[in-house]
Amino acid sequence: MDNPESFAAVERSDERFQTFVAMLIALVTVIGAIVVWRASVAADAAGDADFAGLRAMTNVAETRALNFVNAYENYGAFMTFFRHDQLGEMMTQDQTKGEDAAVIEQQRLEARDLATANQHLFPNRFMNRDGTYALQRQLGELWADAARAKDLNPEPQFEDAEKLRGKTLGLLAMVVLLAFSLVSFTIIEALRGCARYVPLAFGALFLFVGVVGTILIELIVR
Amino acid sequence: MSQSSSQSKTGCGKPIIAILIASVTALTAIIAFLQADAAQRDDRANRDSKRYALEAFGRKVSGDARVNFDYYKAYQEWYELDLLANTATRRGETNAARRYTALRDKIEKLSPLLAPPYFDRAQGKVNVAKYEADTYVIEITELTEKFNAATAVKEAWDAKAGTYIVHLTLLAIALFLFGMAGLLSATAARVIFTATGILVTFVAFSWAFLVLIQPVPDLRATNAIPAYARGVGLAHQGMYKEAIAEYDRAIHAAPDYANALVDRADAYSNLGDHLAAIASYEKARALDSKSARVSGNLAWEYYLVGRFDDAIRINRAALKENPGEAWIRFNLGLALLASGKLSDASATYSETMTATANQVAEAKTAGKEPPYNLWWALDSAAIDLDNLLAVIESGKGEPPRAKITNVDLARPIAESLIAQLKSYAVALEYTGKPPVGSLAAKISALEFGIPEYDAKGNITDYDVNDEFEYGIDEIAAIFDYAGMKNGDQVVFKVYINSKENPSWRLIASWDLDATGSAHRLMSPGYTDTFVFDPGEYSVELYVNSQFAQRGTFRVK
Repeated sequence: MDNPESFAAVERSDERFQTFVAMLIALVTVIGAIVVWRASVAADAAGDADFAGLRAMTNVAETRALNFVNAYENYGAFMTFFRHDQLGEMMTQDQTKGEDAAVIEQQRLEARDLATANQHLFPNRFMNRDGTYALQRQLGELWADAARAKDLNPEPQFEDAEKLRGKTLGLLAMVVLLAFSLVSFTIIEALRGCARYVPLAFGALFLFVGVVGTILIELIVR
Repeated sequence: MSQSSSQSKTGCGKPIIAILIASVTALTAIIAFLQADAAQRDDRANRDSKRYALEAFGRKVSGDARVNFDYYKAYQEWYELDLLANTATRRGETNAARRYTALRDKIEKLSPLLAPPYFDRAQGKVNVAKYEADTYVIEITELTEKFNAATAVKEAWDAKAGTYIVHLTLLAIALFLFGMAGLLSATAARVIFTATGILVTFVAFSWAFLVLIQPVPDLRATNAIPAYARGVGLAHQGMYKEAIAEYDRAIHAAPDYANALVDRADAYSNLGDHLAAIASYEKARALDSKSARVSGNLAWEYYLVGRFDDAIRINRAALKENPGEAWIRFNLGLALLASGKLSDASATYSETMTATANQVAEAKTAGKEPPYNLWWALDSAAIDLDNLLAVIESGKGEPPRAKITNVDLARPIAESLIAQLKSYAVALEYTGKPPVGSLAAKISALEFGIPEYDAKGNITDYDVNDEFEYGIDEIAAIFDYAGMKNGDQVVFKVYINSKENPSWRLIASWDLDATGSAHRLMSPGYTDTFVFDPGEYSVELYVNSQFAQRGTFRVK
């Protein structure tokens, strides 16, 4: 060992090792920065997906409120029509039952007029054959019409937001592993001889898991 | 020798500093991860709270539209046709009666409100409260409570995320200190910087650990909210006993559920179980001592059981947090009066009436309508004093008469305060200013009678009484007067079971003689179907915004 040539060889070997470790530290730092960037992009996308979901939710609330108000106004007009229409019909049947013919005829005409006046205040295609009103069908049609014009389904966006949140956290967990890798590589500086290979192995393992984990997360959650 | 030693120490210190820097970097990565996690939970709860709010809004509007239609359109149609059928029957128009009845029955099929379990066909009554509860009240309550719970979760995670930022800042300082230690050659300085860096790191790590283990309770994770919502739905229908059972379930699932505690206390109060109400309000107040509703109601329950000192104490504490609450000020005055602190009571009532007048003046100056709850506060204060007088007179009711101090002195003060409060309410409503001067006219006690008519339709006499059988359709308030002037403003108010019915209110300009007798007929002349509902009717007469006289009659 006292041989100066062999001493120089050991020193050169040490230098190469130190250089290798320094390159690994630099690599971990660069990869860490890239993973943090990807995590940041995913977090931003999660926020966007949430916003889109809430916009759809606003559409849902607005559509439901307007549809119910409009449909029940129509139903109210139908009920007024129904009352006068039915009353007129009954009076027609009663005209021969001994009531004052002139009075009943006048009332019948008025009832018919009022029914006609209200007939235009609701969409009469929702009238059933039995004289009732298909309110649920009208609500369904109104909903379908609105769904063609705007997004009324917030769930997919909220699900996307959840996935992207998971991705962000997964990537940040990989950053933690890369940080452990960095610690391991730094510890090497304080050690000599074969003991240096233990933190090197751990550092490499953390680096490997971190990189593979990041790639898998990127591939799975797109 | 010393130089070589120093170099040796430096050579030993630098790897340690490098390891420290790397370790703190790893710790920073972990705390950054925790911060990101907390921020994401904060975002999620924030999104959920907005989602619940939007959903609750949409469902409230649609539910209201539905109930309004079913009650104000469908039931109104049914009621009208039923009325027309009955009137036609009374007139002997059998064909018309049959038509209206048949049509009424057809209308029944057009609304779920006109079917069991909401409709009692025999009585012709609908249970709107149950229909509302089933249609949207329970659902909206659940969504609103989820909104509140999500907001609380959001705030908790927001606080955690913010605190982690502080930890990250501390770790950045530690990294700076370690970096400086690595650059310095003086050993002492390097040791100081390194030790300080380690201390800062330790503080940041310990603090972060404490924040990490701090739980974030989420009411949505329990089954408390559905139970509470069912309780609200039952209380909405006046089923307080059943509501309490549901509130108990909610409180069992989440012992710190403040809304459930408050609503349970309200339900106990409605059942007259004031001690249970007090216990529940006290628990709720321990969770939120700033709520005017909780403190005000707790003080009121203390008053009802005769714990006047406690009522005064809680009312004063509530006013410190909510100085603008007139109803709490009036309740404070009432408790002071019942506890025998008569001058304090008078002063409190006087200050509150002045404050009320100022609020009205400010609203008028700003071109706005005064808040409606001012009239409610003035009216309620007078009714509460009335009730206190009734307890003093009869010995029955709440608070227990035996606990009221200085009864003989309290009585005239209460009577005077009632007149002042009533005058204030009318004066502020019609003039926007407090009443001026005193009552110039003299009005006798109001009497009530059924008018008797001659063949020409003129009133000849009255069948005077203070209690009438159900079925009467006209009653006259009769009084003698003196000192009235032409143009004096006269206001009649009618209270049915202690609640004013504004449709009976009459505002008129006096056009009779200065002295004489008068009557005010109470009956809508445009219908032949009206009869007085059973209950206690109280009629009040005001002259130029001054409370002049009142009287009461009952319909059996």
